[in-house]
Amino acid sequence: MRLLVLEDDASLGPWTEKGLQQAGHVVDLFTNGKDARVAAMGQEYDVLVRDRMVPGLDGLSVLKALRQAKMTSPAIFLTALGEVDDRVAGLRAGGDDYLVKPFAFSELLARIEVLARRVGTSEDQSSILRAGDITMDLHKRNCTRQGHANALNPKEFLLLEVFLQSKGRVQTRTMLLERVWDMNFDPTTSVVETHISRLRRKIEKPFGDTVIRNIRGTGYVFEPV
Amino acid sequence: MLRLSAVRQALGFLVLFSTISIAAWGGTFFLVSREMQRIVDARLLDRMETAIAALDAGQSLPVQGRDEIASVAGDDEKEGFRTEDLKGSSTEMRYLVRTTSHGRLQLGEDTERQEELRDILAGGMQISLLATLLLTSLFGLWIARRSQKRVNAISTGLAKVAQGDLGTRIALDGNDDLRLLSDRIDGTTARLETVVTQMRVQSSNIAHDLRTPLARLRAQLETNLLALIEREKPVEADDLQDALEQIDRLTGTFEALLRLARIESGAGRGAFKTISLETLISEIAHTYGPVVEEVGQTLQVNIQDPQSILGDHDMLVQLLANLIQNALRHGAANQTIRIHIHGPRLIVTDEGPGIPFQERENVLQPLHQGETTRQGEGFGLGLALVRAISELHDADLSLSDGPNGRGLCVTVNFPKLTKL
Repeated sequence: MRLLVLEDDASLGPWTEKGLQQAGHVVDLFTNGKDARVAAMGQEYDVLVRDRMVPGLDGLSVLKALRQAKMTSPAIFLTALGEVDDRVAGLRAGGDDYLVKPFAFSELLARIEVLARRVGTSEDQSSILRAGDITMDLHKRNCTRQGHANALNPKEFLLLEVFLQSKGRVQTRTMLLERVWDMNFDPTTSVVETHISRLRRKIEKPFGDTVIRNIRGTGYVFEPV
Repeated sequence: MLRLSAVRQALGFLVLFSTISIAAWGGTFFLVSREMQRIVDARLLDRMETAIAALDAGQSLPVQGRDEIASVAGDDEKEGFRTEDLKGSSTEMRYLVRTTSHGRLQLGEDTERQEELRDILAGGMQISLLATLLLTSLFGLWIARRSQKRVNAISTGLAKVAQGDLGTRIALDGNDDLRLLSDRIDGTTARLETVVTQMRVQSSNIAHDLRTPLARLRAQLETNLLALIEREKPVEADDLQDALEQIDRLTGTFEALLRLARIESGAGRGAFKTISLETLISEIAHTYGPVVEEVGQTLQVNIQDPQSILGDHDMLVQLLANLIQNALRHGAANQTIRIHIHGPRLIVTDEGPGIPFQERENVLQPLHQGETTRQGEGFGLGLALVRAISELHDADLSLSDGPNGRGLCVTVNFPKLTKL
């Protein structure tokens, strides 16, 4: 993927650039808003990663200008802790996601990949989700594996739905909390872990295999058989 | 002096009062003078008739008093009443001229007596006006000085508060609006003093709470670094992972503190929506039921006559999550955590050791380290967030003993939703 990174911090910028390059992406790093805008106008990027506060034009204004010019590349904002309030402003200006500093690099990577796919596939409209031998009917709210019905509670169902929609891509704990539980805060108790282990008991244990893999310190990835 | 509002007020009243007095007295003077002239004129008309009658009867013109004149006038005299200065005297004469069958008649009367009366009236008025002005000014000044002193006391007190002396109280005596104002200011200053003191305690708690994990993190990294340098022992992934987790925990504390500050500042009230407590609780039960079961405890939900409230969904989820978390952390093993909804009231009880009465107010403060639970993690920010969210929702939060005097019972009583 080709990514635009707008980050003026002398160590965070290159660190992000290097990490994303190691993950196999092409990265253009900018430290000021005006240059980033010029670059983004002349070249289609898969995802824009931008700091809220940078010299020249701030991240918000750059994005507004790009959205007015009908540039639709998804954008993720990096905001400092104290600017959490601004996240609404960021999303309103046409941002697709936000990440609060300090963040784990794996979190940034996972979110970038989700954003890139979201635009590419434009969300499956069908009410039937299939992955390997697992089938989910989103209307009838039922789920089967190898033809056997699974009784999932509503949160387990939503959790599995998120996994099926993003097979092969890492879902971090925070992303799952946001997407499944609508929680924008860290509940410190093991909400995610508990539900994952319950889900596993229902969809893995009877079949003796692993479809949800734990990636230590990062999150989970769904890999259907 | 003229800038003082009380003096300005007194002067204003003085001017107004004088104007009214002068107008009233001038009017009276005018009316009295006119009435006196009317009486003189009536007498002249009366005398004219008598004189005509006397002439008709062939008698001479009657003159009764020394103030009166009666004569046959020349043709050049105009008919009617007129007033003339009396030569060689300060008084005036009033004349009536009329054409009769006996020629032109002129009757006159000296108005000295009326003028004397008028002068007495005017003198009295002047004395009374002067006295009024003098007394009013003195009284006004006295009032102005008195209220100015009181205003100065308030102003000095406020200046001291502005300089940071929050222990200042104005404590005005008397019983007027300024006293009311000063009492209000004193009340506000007292509240401010409490809040600032609370904030100082909180800041030191926060500093303590952040310093400890930072020290731990530092020690850990330093140990790894020394081992790497001196013994060429490689840093293990686990060590770094631990360090990262410590940083995440610190970040979490920061985030919760900022969230707390934001909620306490009243942000988010504008986005309140109608929220069904029943839906909210069932959502929470789905999320936390398994978490509670996983550690061998039970989550029991009891809903009676559930109502809807006005609030922020995310914050209410956090409030409930924090209460359940608190119950999990401080409750007893194998306990049942009960969530009870009754009307607009939310009650969460656990079966732990509870919180002693005198500690209850303290645990609602951020990062308070409970004396009785010092061996543990302290109360962190969970209950402080519960308090802040309750306050934002205008809900009454109370901590009490659970049923049978066991455990902690947290009651959040939301205001009833008023139908629009």
